[in-house]
Amino acid sequence: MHLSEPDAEYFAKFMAPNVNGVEYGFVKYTVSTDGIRAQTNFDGSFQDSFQIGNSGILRTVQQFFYDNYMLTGAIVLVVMVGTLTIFLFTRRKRHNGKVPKQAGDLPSSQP
Amino acid sequence: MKWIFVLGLVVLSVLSLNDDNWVRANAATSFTFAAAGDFGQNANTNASLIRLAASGASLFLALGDFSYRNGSSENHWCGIVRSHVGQNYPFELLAGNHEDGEEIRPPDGYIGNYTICMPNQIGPIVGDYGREYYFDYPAVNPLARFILISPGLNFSEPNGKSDFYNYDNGSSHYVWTASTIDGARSGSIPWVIVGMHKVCLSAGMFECHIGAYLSIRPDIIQLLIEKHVDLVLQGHDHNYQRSKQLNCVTAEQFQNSASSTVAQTAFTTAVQAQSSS
Repeated sequence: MHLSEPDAEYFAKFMAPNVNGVEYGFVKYTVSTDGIRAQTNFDGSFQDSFQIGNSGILRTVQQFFYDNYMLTGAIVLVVMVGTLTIFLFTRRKRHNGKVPKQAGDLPSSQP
Repeated sequence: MKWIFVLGLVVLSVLSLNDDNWVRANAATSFTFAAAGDFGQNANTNASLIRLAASGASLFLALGDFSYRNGSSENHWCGIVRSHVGQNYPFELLAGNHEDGEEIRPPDGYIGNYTICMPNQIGPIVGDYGREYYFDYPAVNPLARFILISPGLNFSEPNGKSDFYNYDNGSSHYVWTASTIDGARSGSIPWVIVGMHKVCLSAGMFECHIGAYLSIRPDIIQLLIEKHVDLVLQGHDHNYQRSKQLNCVTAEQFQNSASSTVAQTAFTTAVQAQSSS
């Protein structure tokens, strides 16, 4: 591969003897109304994937979280810790009788 | 604290929609196919064919250069492929320069013989199978039109008949390609995919092998870009090169397309060989 030649600028990914090694295989494409998704299937460790077309908001959001896995991991961790904290806090309140378990247990406003 | 919960639930929900779920959700309106070029007949070829058989791809596009062996090698090569993918699997052929009968002497088989031992299995096609044809897939309510062309090949059969496939502007092959793309658009087929053997844009071992000699702007490549073909598949270069999204092309003169406002995208992908022959 001649990475210094002008045509190289057109490309986003290479696999050749002098770039990522020599591997053998094919590319598999999934075609839907939303787009075309490509995934390499080679016999080594090299991988590439890409997508063409309108992926929709959901896919865009999903791709954002996949691309920012550190942020995603942090958010998931905060949510898990927060859930556990609130669960334990609520359970403690109930145990101390500060939070009624059922609506029927509410203290009556009648004298 | 509440917003963190909401955000977290959104994240978890989005992440739960993995690739398999996405494909499954679109099962009624999606399909898979695979493509490669430059095969040979060795252990690497066999390994690739085994993986192809297990891949679940509904069809395969073979983008030229099949056996790499001269002297009636066609039947043997077809037998190897069939032994792995099955007798009726749509392993669709497109000629490369090794089997056009002209460029490689002696040729590594003739495309006319390959198309006999590996006939079209996809269903109805329009054109000349192995040289220049198209088909829509699925046949009912198609999602894609596959257009297979042979720019730069000079077909010469054993009977002496020679036919150079010229795709310069105004040529019959150029007009055929243009009208076939237009037909897909007017038929509201969502995606147009074009396959060919030879390359033009490449950082690999080959210069532009399409169009006029040493042309840096072959008419056919310009046509594919101007008509916003969605995906271009090529072989020939024995490597893998995946382009950025392109909407203007001149070989040797990269032009960034980021500022363009074209509605469709066009990708150029040169797929890796199954053989290093």
